[in-house]
Amino acid sequence: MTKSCQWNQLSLRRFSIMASAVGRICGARLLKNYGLVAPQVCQLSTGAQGWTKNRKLWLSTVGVVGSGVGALLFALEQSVQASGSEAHAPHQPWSHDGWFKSLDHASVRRGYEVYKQVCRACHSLQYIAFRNLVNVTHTEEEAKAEAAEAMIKDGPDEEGNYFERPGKLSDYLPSPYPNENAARAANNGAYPPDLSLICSGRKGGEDYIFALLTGYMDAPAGVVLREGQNYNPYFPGGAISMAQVLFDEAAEYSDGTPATASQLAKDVATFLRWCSEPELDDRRLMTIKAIGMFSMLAAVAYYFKRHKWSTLKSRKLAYKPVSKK
Amino acid sequence: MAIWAPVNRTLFKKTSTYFLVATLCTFFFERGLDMISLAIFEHLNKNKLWKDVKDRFKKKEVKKDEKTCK
Repeated sequence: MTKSCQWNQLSLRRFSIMASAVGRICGARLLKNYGLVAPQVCQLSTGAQGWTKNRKLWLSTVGVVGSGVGALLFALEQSVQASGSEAHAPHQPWSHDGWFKSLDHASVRRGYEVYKQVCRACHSLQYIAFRNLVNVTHTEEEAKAEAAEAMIKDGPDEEGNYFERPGKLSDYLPSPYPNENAARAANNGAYPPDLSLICSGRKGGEDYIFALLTGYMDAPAGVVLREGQNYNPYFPGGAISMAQVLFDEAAEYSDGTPATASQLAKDVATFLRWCSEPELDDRRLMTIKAIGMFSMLAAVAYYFKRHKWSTLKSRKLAYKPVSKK
Repeated sequence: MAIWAPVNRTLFKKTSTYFLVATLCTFFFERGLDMISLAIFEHLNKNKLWKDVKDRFKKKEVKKDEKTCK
């Protein structure tokens, strides 16, 4: 016997082992020849070809466990969440809430102005570049002017020195502190977080930010605050190192909107939602597109189903009982 | 059905013409769907998008410039 022949025999044996394994797993059902009429009888008759006892038991167990886990997850999500001490931010009627609602860009622009005049004193926004503002909150010229106002540290130059230059569109927004340690040292040991992704990073999103910014109050009796701390019921633990910064007229708007404290908070929350989710408008547009596309595909699928089933639905099966005689 | 039969005969029977029709239809369908979706989106979000809003901020700056000029 030649070598190739042996190889062939080997591979044949392997194949037969694999085939028998598949057969064992799927049972004989996979390869069974039902004949011409049987599948149609199966589908069309209401005959009592019920499930076996084992299968019934198995499926009902899966059903009970599955729905139990689902109900548990739903209940956990819907719970009152009363274990913490912090207040839960009430939901505000944001103009970008909803399937098709874009961000209010006037609000985003005003929010940027609030960030620039107030928040930037302590908080960085290091993942937003000036070019991101173009056609979102600023025209290209305005964004260029905005960038040129900021001094950006650059280098090293030909002599190896670092230098400062006016910003360009490609630069990211400059941070108020060179690093985290400097930020902590300047803020009583507390680190003002970067705001680029804060809206997605905090439970409650823009509702939380709005509630936090407008929710400062005197500490209730029994709450001890250390020096430099303030009381805010929406902040986990209640003691927050950031002082209240948004008061009426704390910032100035270039479109003349009255700068009340709640207006400032609402605009900066909208701006931070944009920072966390710059693609929000695109997603809303994509929703509309997807609905158009899939409704057309659904119509095609419906027609195709009717087309293919028309022969089956209009078919009649006649049984000729064999007479006993 | 008077229109359907010749269209079917001339365009859909041959693979080459059928392919061409499918490609062209895809192009126009895609453009059409994009434009309709965008129109709906802009209608629903009127006075919220940057192209509607930018004049509010621009005019102020122009006015300020005029004031400083005077």
